[in-house]
Amino acid sequence: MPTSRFEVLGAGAFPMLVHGALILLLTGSIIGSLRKIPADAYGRFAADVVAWGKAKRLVFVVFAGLGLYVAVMPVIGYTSSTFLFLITLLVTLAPKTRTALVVALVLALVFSFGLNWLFAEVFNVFLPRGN
Amino acid sequence: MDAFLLGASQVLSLSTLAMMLLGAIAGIIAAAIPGFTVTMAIVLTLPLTFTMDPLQGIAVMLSVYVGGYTGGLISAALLGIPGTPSSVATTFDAFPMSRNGEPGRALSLGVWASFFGTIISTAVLIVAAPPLAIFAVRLGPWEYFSLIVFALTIVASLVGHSLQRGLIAALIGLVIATIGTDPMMGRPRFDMGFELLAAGLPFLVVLIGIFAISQLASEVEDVNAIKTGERLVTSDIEFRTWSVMREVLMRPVNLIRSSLIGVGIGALPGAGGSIANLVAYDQARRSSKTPEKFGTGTPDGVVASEAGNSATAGGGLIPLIALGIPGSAVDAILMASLMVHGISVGPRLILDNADLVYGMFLAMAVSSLMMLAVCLVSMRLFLRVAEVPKWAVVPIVLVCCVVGSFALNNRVTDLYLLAAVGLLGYALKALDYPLAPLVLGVILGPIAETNLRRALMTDNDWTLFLTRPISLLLLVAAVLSVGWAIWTVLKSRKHATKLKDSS
Repeated sequence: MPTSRFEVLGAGAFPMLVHGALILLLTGSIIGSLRKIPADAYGRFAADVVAWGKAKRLVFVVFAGLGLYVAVMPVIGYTSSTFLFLITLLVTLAPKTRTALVVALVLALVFSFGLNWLFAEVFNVFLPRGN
Repeated sequence: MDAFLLGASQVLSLSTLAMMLLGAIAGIIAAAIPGFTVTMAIVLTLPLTFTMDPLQGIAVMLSVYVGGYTGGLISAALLGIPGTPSSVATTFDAFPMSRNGEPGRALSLGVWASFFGTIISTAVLIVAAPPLAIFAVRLGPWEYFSLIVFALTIVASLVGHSLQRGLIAALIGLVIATIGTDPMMGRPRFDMGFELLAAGLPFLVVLIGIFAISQLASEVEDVNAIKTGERLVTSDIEFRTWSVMREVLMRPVNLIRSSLIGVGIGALPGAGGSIANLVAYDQARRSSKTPEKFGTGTPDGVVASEAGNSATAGGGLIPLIALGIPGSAVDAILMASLMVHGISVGPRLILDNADLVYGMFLAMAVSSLMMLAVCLVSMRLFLRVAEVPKWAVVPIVLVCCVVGSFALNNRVTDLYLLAAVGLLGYALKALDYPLAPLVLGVILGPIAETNLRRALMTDNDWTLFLTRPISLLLLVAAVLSVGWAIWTVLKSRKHATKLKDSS
């Protein structure tokens, strides 16, 4: 990055300082953790990863859902995408009883159509409408 | 005086008061729901305040803040689960107390202690902020750069379990802040050719992603707990409001000490209610004549924890108003909301916008009164709120985060950023990195860079950072805070090995 002739430090100096410090600390941290890992841990690595993934499966569901949700929102619009996102996630997370499912449906409707109406009418913010 | 009256007239207008009442209720509800933090509630309030006047918006957010510090008490006292990290110590005594058949007394004690804690901290804020600001106006860019270095190191050493991780988090925050145009000359940096990155990462989207999304994701980690849905104990609850108030006031030493601890800790950058309640509780136990009663439901424990965490609200505003440096994530959001309205935050805030600052002082006092009124009138209703199951909260709040970040700029690309930052935040959280230093790094980064470069443009001499006394003092303090953190780690490690040897 070219430096300006009006100042000693250009636009590049501060990022270099920060990145440099970060690299130093991270290297130290990597070396520190490598020394702490017992030798047999490498063998168990694959099994541990699978077990961890299973234990946290809902987290992956949430992030996958969120990613898909924001990706399709510009295409199909706020109301439909939110409704689909909410109903999927609520039904996945909720206990499988009839009341819970009814509550999930009502919540999904209120927060997709209701919130869209609230923002458009009250705050004058128009959420994505889709193509 | 004119400025005070102007600010008062804005805060005390009917529409502002009504909005603040809603804010206080929303704060209490939000904090009462386990898994929904005060920070998240404020983040979600922010887009709603854009259409308001600056002072009205700030007043509403302050009322959410004050209400939120109290709401965490409800699930802490009744379920033994802290509704927010700030009420961890409350569970130690309020939960046994309600188990012993006095849930109403535990709740009222907490509410009154919170109220007095907020009032005391507001008084300290009013006394301390203006002189500090007048002093801070005379600081040059050297002092400011050193001050930010100090702020970041102290945040890194206070939050979380490891100094190294705290510093890494703070530096990641600084790295995020360098994306976009540089603050002095406007040169593009690190945009990788994406239009998305050219303007820099919008601070609030980063904040929502880091705090709200990652917190929500970690709420669903426990597959079994979420499916069953925990419920509150619903027995008959009796509130003896006035006798409890007398009970709280009969402990003036504990109340004032805990509040002052809260103010002091709140004023330190990075340390907020989540630390203050534990420290205040610890100090109350040490100076008590009957320390063995702590943990079994003694009123002193409830008073200490709740007064301590509520007092950080006022303490955190001291550096924000006087220096323009937010002490916690919540203060950073307050600062951002002022910047959205085009008000520059810094030591000149109190000189240029005195009515706003006085209005903020008044709003703190008014919102604590509102919190008290709301709690005393409708505590029974809030008990229901704490029963809302997690499976409903998480998806709904996710949608609120998405809508909130969209409404900031009306940009769909911000939503992609939100999801990506949320994932980053969750990964860091899962690896036990503290998130507060990262967020403060993002907001302080440009300030630090501007001052560093301005300092060297004024005088091309690096030694000025060390020869100007205040700057030197701050840098020494920064080194000391790192050294102190290393020393405590070494001490606890030695202690741990000693225990291992003796067993």
